[in-house]
Amino acid sequence: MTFDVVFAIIWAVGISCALAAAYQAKFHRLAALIFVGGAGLVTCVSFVWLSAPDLALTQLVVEAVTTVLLVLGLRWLPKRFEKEKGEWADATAGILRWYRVRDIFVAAVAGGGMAVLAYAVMTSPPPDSISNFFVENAYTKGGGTNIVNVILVDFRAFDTLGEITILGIVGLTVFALLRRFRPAADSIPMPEQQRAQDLFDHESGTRQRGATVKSAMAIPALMMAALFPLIIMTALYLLLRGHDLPGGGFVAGVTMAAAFILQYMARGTIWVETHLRILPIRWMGAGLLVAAGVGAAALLFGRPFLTSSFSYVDIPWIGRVPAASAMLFDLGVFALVVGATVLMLIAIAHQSMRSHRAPRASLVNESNIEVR
Amino acid sequence: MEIVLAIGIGVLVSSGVWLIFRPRTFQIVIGLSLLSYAVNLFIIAMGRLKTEAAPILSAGGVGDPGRYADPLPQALVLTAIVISFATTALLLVVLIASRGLTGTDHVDGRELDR
Repeated sequence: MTFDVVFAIIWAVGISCALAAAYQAKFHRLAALIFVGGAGLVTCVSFVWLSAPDLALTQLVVEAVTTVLLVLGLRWLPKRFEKEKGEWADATAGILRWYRVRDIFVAAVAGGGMAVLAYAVMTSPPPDSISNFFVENAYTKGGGTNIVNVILVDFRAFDTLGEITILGIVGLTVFALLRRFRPAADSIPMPEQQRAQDLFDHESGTRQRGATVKSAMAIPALMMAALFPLIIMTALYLLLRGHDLPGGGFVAGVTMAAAFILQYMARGTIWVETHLRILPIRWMGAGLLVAAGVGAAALLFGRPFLTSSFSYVDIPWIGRVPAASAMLFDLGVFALVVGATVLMLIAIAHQSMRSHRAPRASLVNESNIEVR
Repeated sequence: MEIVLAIGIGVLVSSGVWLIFRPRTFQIVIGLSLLSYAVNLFIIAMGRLKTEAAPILSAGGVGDPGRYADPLPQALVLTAIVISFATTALLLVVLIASRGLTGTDHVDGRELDR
């Protein structure tokens, strides 16, 4: 393929982002997170460039949700100050320097090896693979024009069923781990920024506690609240068009989850938890049941598990609509992805409630042992 | 074009491998994110590069494999993106829980002895 200057410039940005993220991850976590986002966006643009619109869509929304998740996690990590020279004993400093040189060497060898391997494969002629079967039969046997989606929900549906099961298990594990979560003693008090804002409100005399952050968020909050139904509609649109055009259950599910997490940001944890009943575990259960049920339904017709069928249905006013049982399977994928993603996000978002409560008596006692 | 993507994948792998050797948990989360980008791009590269050939059949009927980008790596990567989100979330939560239990964000659960 011919060399493209724009593609090279985009990757120059991507490479700088990756290196900067590696450099900043120790002392400037938020900066590292932003650089990783940059590298992710370059990946996303590459997917568009290399004719993978489905991947670009999914990468974009997953990128946004991952960033939200990691920002929520940052709250519980300790503060880190750059070490001053001479803090380590000379012998330790020497060992640490040797570790660093060794790691740079291993990383360079790994990266160089992958680059050479990737280049060698990309410049060799393509082998005769099973991909041709999927392209030839996506429409005649699967009933959809989006080949990638047809592979996911029809030809390789058993794979997808396994993957959504993994996603569900991970969601439940995250939920279970966080139910028993105890923050470290030094991250229980309110964050510094929040204390500074509250102090400002207190000193002004006329403002209520928390007024500063509320007024700073007023307009974004209004926009996020107004976007809620729009994002849900976009998610449903992506779900319905998935069989024929870029979209599908995965991207639609993550988009829907983004709608919910935006409400947490706009209105605060307390408002959402008293006004919205999201019930992510039911979404997950329903999703898995629908996906497995659609698969099992094929057995009733004497076909193997997860065989799909499709036909065209005439609906008055709308016209001829394609109806494939694989679309029902995609609905199950959608529901499970919504449930699992929302469960992970709200489980970790809910932890912010812990800092507002007074530390529990047992924790206070533990930290006061030395004083007494 | 191929050389640009190959170098890009190489740098992503190097940054990721360097970061997962680091002692702080957050560095490992960042490193795994970079590695997952690299692996996804690598799998896409296995199907060879093609521009303006999205695997969406323009009309029904039997598709011509020569006209479209390889759809199989794309289907594999699509689920990989969502699974890597899930593993990042799981890793993050395990790290936060370990930080809560041990009071440090060192991977060994204790600070290096001076």
